[in-house]
Amino acid sequence: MDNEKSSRSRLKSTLLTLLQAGAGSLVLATTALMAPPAVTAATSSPDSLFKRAEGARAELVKVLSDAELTGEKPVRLAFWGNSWPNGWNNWGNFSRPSWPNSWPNWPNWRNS
Amino acid sequence: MVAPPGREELGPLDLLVVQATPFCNLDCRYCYLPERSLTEQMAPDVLDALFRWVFASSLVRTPFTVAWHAGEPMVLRPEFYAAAFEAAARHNVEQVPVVHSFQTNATLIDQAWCDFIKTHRVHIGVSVDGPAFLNDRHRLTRRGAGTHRRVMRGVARLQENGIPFHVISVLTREALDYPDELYEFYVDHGIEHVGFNVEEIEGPHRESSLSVDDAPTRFRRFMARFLELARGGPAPLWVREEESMTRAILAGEPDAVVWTQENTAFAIVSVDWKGNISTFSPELLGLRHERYGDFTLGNVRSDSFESILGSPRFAALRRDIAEGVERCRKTCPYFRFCGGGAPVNKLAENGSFASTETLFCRLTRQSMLDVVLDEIQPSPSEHKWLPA
Repeated sequence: MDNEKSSRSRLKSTLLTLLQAGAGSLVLATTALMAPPAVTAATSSPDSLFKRAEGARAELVKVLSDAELTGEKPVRLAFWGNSWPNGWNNWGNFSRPSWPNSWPNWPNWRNS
Repeated sequence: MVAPPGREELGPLDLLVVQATPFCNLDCRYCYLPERSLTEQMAPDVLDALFRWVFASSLVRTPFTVAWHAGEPMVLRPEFYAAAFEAAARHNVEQVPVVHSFQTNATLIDQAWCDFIKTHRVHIGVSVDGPAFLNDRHRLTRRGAGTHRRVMRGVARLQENGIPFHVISVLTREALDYPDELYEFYVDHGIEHVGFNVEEIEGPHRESSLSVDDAPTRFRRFMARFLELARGGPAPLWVREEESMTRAILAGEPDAVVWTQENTAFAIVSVDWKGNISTFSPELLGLRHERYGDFTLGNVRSDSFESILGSPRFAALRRDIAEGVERCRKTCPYFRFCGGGAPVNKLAENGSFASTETLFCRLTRQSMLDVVLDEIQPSPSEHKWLPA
């Protein structure tokens, strides 16, 4: 029951945001709501995936300092077992850049 | 041979996984370790040979982590590890920074362990699947009883001693219905760093409760809700998968050179209690397969790094894993955010390293990327996770 209530609240909130953004967005949202849930990956085509990732990267770059953006190259993408991204370590044994752990719960980019 | 351009093909060593003992005092239903009833332990001469081998190889070029794993590390006493850490330091003549790490079920943590952990600044991860009603469905004693109470007693000891730790929780199908309960569990117990593993098909664990059509949808719904709670909550809560995927988004330019530990030969070195060596996915050590036999490439007491490089088995593994990565690169739009999946999952689910998509990557890479993209840039597509 709580989950349902939460979903409804979230839906209401998001729809309000979309309404404020314009009618076109609302049409898209309504269409998505009426469609059955996706079973496989949510992003359907490579182009749309890359476009969304580009947009997300642009948002990230806006809120990060140059120092935080400087990372290892080539970039390691996956971490086995109890290895953590960015060499994070409980005791701080390795020096590491502040990104991304310095973000307390990602408050930076939402407009709300 | 296919290798990521601009990257060395071998190592450097990033993670040394050492099986001090194959034994585990628990018998979790989803465990992939085939020898977890064996009470053997690594002998002192094997320990010494292990670190001699590691530091004599050309693989140690950067700081690395030693993960004492593939059995419950704390069934051995601190004295074993004191000797082991001493052996590591003795052979580490160039004093490369090394971090020792335990992923533990926490049921055996006592004050002697806490003293040892603090003295040696051991990196601690606790395996617990959230509140008791979830944890005790799968994480069981050898008599089939729940373990939650004992685990949380160990967690309390760590906290009383001021020892930082992270938690890894395995997500089964039923756990995906409880993001709020999991979130509340972590916050209520002062847990600030959480990693989520999914119930994987590996080794003797041949079926996953997540092998169902709606698992990606349920996983995305779970993660979206969990991250929403973590973002808005009063306490700091960092989620490993979110951090990892954000990093991938930042790095995922079309021409980015990417790599993963499991697909790079000798970035991970795994050594069992007998001194047998393997690489790529650590779970391969101790497994057998009709095509490859086992995945042992040599032994620290008898085989040099150079001799292993020349072995036909290593050549076959390397060739097939590289082919699988290349297939991912050519066929999967998520490749630039993933790096080509995990070899052990490809073998377990598809029967071949030279293959592509698995349940593991559909959930932890594809679905996770979708969730994090929606976190950063909410879009109409977000609604597909809500009830129709």
